[in-house]
Order: sequence, then structure tokens, then C-alpha cells
Amino acid sequence: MIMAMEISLLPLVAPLVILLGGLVSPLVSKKEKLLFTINFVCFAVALVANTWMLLKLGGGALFYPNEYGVLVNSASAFVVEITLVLGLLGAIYSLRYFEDRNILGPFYLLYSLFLTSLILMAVSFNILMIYVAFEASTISGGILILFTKRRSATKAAVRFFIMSVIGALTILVGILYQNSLTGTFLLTKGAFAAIGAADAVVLASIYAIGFGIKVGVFPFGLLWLPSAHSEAPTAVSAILSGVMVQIAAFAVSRVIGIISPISDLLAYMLIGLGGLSVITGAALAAVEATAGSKWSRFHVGSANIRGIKRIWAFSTSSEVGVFYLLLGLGLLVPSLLPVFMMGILLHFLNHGLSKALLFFDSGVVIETSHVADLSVLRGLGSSIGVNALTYLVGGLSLSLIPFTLGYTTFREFTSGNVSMGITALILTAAAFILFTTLYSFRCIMSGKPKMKVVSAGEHEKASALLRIPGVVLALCILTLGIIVTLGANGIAFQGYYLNIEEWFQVAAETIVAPFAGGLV
Amino acid sequence: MNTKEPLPRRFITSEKLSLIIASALMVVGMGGVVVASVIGDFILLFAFVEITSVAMFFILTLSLIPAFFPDKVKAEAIFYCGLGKEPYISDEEVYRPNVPLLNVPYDTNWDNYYDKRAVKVEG
Repeated sequence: MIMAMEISLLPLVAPLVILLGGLVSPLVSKKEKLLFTINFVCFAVALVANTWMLLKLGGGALFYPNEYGVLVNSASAFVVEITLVLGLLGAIYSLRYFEDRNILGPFYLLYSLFLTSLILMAVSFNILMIYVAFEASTISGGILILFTKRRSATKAAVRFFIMSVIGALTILVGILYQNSLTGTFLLTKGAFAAIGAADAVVLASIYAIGFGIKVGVFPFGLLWLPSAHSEAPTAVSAILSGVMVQIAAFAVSRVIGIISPISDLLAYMLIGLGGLSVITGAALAAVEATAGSKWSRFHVGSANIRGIKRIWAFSTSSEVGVFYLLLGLGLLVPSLLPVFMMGILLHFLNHGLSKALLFFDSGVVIETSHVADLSVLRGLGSSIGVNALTYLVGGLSLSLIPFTLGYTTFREFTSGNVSMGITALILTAAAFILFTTLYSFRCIMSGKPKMKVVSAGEHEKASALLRIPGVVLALCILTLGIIVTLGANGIAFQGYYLNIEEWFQVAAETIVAPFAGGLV
Repeated sequence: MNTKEPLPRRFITSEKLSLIIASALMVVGMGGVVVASVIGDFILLFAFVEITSVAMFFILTLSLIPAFFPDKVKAEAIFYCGLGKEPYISDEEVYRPNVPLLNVPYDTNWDNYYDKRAVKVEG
């Protein structure tokens, strides 16, 4: 076990190694298998190094070159672990995804740069470093969206760039304001101790809005999130939804958690934005699945569609609201902040795995049928194979059904710490998502086209590499979901459950403090 | 086919206008970076760095590539129904940019969210 804080080169391994893989592989070879192998090995090395830290850190932290450079503690290591797992699965998925294999080299380069920047956002207590990583993720993420080579993807990328730059400039205003108030760019409790309550509210509000644009909360998210997440190549969609927006939410939780206690006004603002996101996104996902983009709006294509990826993009703009809700609740009752911070980590896990799974499996549906619009889709039946089940697992987990990971979020919002109104809101959104899951599942399995399809080729079997991510993620969701559901209710696996809960309690403290032993 | 004088070309197109504005902002930003460095005002320096980086990024993605690497199309190859009349647009004006940054042609097969090579839809 690592005690308190220790200097080490290990925190650099994950970001540097995957970046190195992306940079070196296109130089070494243009052969797709070699490109993939180099990147796969680099992801695997990064994953091993991070897993070692995750298991050894406890309440301590490793940093380099100082506490305000790259710092990995339990919360950061947890977030990086999910990023690396989904990144690795995305790299596997991408090998057989593109028709034009010549673009794999530049794709892996930008993909690794994108993931590196996201990792750096998660492993710092320095707002300048977070800001620089934020900008780098915008550039690499925006270009990655273009890889589908569609005109609509260009529109989506431009929207993503514009909104991200507005978010970045807002954060920049916050950084300058923070510097004028505290004289530092560092995120420590001590730095903010002397500032006035009004200044703290203004500063936290600026950060909440600036990061909120990247997170995709209501109303900013609707302007860019549904188009960007649905137009991107599938592996990038999975990372945008499963990782990027969540790391932005993690960063804002860290920043505002450190500035807190602030005021009830800000707490209500966060709860309001979160609540509106939760219900609007879930309702629009259901509208997209049943009525189409003509009614759900925020579409960059020219045709009215019921886009399978757009459904889950709308769902993402709902799920990110949960982060703001939890953060707002934590600010409202500071004594419960650690509890809600734990909820943020658990929701990160559930939404990250489930949403990535749903995007990966939506990609399998598109590859099998050559159709991304449910109005044109002819039911796939057995052609989709095991991914029908995994798709269902992902949707049920987002619907907060017991025996899936979603049960953790269900427990958070049905505990005595949350008002009935918010519980009802979350359960209503979950009901929308459950309906959307089952409706889209029916369309995928046995749906009849609503458009007049003159001819359609036979469904093709998708490559096994496209199927692997969905299966792996579904197994994780079910295994952890069963342990949590049975353990929390005292039926079985209580020992495992208590260990998990204890670990998350320690990790939640380290969101706002470099190490669990106290604040710097 | 008789050749006429090419249509007069506008000096300021929308691409050029956005390029000029972004370039001006970049120059202001770079000048500001130097001034702020001399004065030693870190906050001002940071603000000018941001202006410069945003302007450069804008130039790169939205202006520079389509402005300097357009994919021109032979108008006569498309407009064959004029029956003796010349194409009513010139080669210079037909303009089909590639995907920004990637410099590859757009994939139009998926314009309607299904692969039109594999699926045919009526209406």
C-alpha cells in the first residue's frame, strides 16, 4: 500500500505510452495488423501500470514532478482505468471498422492523442493543466468525428469545435478570475479558504457553465452532443459518450468540490441544470426512437431519421445531468458531499460501460444491416447474434434495473438522502430509457421498415472484432451488478460488496483531495 | 465550343473574408503576446495566447484547407444538356471541397443514413 504521497514516474506511463504508440505506429508501418499490434501493446502496458496503481494506492497518491503536475490517486486511477479499458476496446473495434484501411494510421494517432488528453484532464489538481488537456481533447476529438467522411459529420464537428471553444473561453475567464482571487492556478482547499462567499459563487458558476458545455448538460449539450456523438465513427462515439463527457464531469466535480462549501443558490442551479438534462435527454431519446429527428430536432443530416446512434446520444445528454444533480445535492448538504461524490464515481462506472457498450453494439447493427436509421431497418433476427443480449444488458443497466450496474445509481437516488421529487425525476427518466431500450431492441430484432425499401442485401455477419467489446462490457456490467445487488441486500457476496463500498468511500474523498489522509 | 471571357471573379469571397479576419486576429494576438511578455503581465499574456491559438485553429480547419486545396470539377463534364449553350457556370466556380483536414472526398453513400450501395429506398 502506498502511504500518503510519493514521487514516482508511474503516473506518466499511461499517457506517455499510449501517445507513443499512436505516434510511432504510423511511422513504423502502414500494415493494419502491425499498426493495431503496436497500439494494442501500448494500451495493454498502460492498463497494467494503471491497474497496479489502482490496487496499491489506497488513500495515498503518486505524482510527478510535483503534487501539481501529474498526480494519480484512487479517484484518478479509477477514471483512467475506465478510460484505458474503453480505449483498448475501441482500438480493437476500429481495426475492422473502416472500409478505407489507409486511414487507420492517422486514426490511431489522433485516437491516442485524444485519450492522452482525457487522461491528463483526470490526473491533475492544476486548473491550467486541466485547461490545456481540455483544449487538446477538443482538437483531437473534433478531427476524429470527421473520420466518417460524411458531410453531416463535418457539420457536427464544426458544432463540436465551436461549443468547445466557447466552453474553453469561459473556463479561461474562470482561470483568470481564480488567479486574481487566489494568486494561484492550483486546486487546493487552502487556496480558496480566504476568498469571499460571493466570489466563490461567481467562480464556481463560471466553471460549472464552462465545463458544462463540454459535459453536455442542458441546454448547451443539445446544441452539439447528439450530432457529434452520432456522426463520429462508432469507437469514437463510445469514447465521447463513455469517457469524454464523464471526465469533464469528473473535472468539474473536482473543481467545484474543492471550492465548496459555496451557496445554496449554486447548488439549486446545478440541480436545476442536472434535472432538466436528465428528463429532456431521456424524453428526446424516446422521441427519436419512435417519431424521429423531425420531432427530436438537433439533427445535422438532411433526411428525417430514427438514428440508432442518435438515440443513445440523447441518452448521454440525459445521463450527464446525473453528475450535476449529485454535485448540486452534495453542495446543498456539505456533510453528504462524500456520499454524493461516491455516487459520481459509481455513475461514472455504470454510464461509461453501458453507454460504450450500446454504441459498440449499435455499430454492430449498422455494420450487419448497412442501415443506421430504424425507419429503414429490417429486423436482424439471429444475424446479430450474442450482441442482441449485450445490447439489452446495456439498456437495462442505464434503466437502473437490479442485477445490472445501474442498481448502484438506483440505490443512490432512492436513499433517504434524496428528496422524493428528485427520486421521481430519476425514475421517470429511467422509465423513458427502459421504453427506448425495449422499443429499439424490438426494431433491431424483428422491426419492419417504415420506409418503402425496394431492395436490401442479405444481412452480413459482422467481424468478431466488432462483437468483442459488447460482450466484454456486458459481462462486466452483469458480474458487478449481481455482486452489488445481492451484496447490498445481504443475500450473497457481502464480503465483496463491503470491500467495494469501502474502496469507493476512500476513492470518493480523493476526488477533491490529492490523498485521503487530508487536504493540502 | 466558343470561348468567352471568363466570368469576373469576386476578389473578396466568404472564404477569403473569414481568412482575413482570422489572420488579423492572429496578428493582433501574436503582437499582444510579445507586448505582454515585455510588460510581464502573465494574465494578459495568457489571454493573447488564447486569441492566437483560437485564430490559428480557425484558419487551419475552416479557411486554409478549402481555400488553398479546392477540388475543382470540370463543369462541361456535368452540364451536357445545354444543347449548344455554354455551361452557365465556369470551372472556376464549381467548388467541391474535401473533408477538412483529412483531405479525402466525402462519402456520399451514407447521406441518408443507410448504405445506398446495399439498400434501395423509394421516395
